Amino acid sequence: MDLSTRVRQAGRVAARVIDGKAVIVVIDTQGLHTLNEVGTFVWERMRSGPHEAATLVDAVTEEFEVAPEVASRDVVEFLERMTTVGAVEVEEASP
Amino acid sequence: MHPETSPEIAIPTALPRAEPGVHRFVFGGVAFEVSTAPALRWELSGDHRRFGAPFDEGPVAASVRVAATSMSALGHTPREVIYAWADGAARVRTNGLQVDVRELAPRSFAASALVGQQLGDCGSLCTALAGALVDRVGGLVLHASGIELAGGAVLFVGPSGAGKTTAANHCAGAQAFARDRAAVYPTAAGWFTAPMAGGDEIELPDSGRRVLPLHAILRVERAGAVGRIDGCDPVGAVRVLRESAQLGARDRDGEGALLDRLLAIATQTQVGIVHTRLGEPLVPTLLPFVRRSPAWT
Repeated sequence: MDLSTRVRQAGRVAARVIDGKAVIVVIDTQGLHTLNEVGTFVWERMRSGPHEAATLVDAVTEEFEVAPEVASRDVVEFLERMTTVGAVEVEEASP
Repeated sequence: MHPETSPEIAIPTALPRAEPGVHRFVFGGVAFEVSTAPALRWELSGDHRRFGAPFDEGPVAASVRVAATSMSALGHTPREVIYAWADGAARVRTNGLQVDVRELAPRSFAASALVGQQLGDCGSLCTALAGALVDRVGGLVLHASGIELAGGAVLFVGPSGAGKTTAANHCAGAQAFARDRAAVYPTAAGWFTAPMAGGDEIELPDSGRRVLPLHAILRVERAGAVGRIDGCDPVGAVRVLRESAQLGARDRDGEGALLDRLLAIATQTQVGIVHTRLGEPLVPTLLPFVRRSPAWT
């Protein structure tokens, strides 16, 4: 995954934000995952549909006190982990 | 001048005399009235009878007519309990039985059951149907042991081997309430709980046989040095509850609704983590935490 990858919330998840933290259930694995404040911010951004990872990084750097290169690394790592657990899907590039 | 009222004076262990073929009992918070076909000899097994209760204590009522059929006529039935509610009705299926249930009024249900003739008691039916009805009224079934303390119930939850039963056994002076499963459901007076049978044979004398206000749900962990209870924040409480909830298959909307339900329990009852030490009496640790419960009077 890199900054040009387009990602979206997976279809078979249920989520609620409780006390500012997203609690996500991946239906097919029955895994329950909790996000911190920044993770919840990114997750909520993805509610509106697919996003390029770079736009999520831009949003994070606007909202939080963080250097762009650090945000880039952290957001991509976060999205990779979320993809691994089944909470996020990578949108295939259209031909 | 108004006539004075007083609490009902009852003999709690006496069951109404049953008509032939009619069985009345409370199981998992559901007041069952089960009518069986004349040819069907059906009784509560000892395990379920132990966790039953007098008929008038159930906040949810179900009238069930039971008929026998051959196992082959039922076709393949799943080992786990499967059901889905739609328009106030559900078909509940599990090993050797099938129940069609519909909601007559809030918390009142009628059901028609077909059971394989080789089933000797109605324990499987009660377990499956109680779970579906508790779900319908906004509750859920937890894998839990539990005790009765100060007029309410404290449930111990956690994965197999966490020490749920051991925790209950360390509550000298408190009456045993549940040993493996408990139904938890909302009422106008707050969250209540009722024991359900199940689990390995463990000697718990004087089972509560009751439907009780829910004081607290505690995830059991072994303590390092000192036994204590840490309260959970709402996210931690949802995690604790979901880990121990007995869940059926759910779609996206169903999972979302379940999260809402867990959050309601988390915010309206006391949920925490109890760190237990082998041999250390637990009631003195429980009482200060339980006193903060909304159900405490």
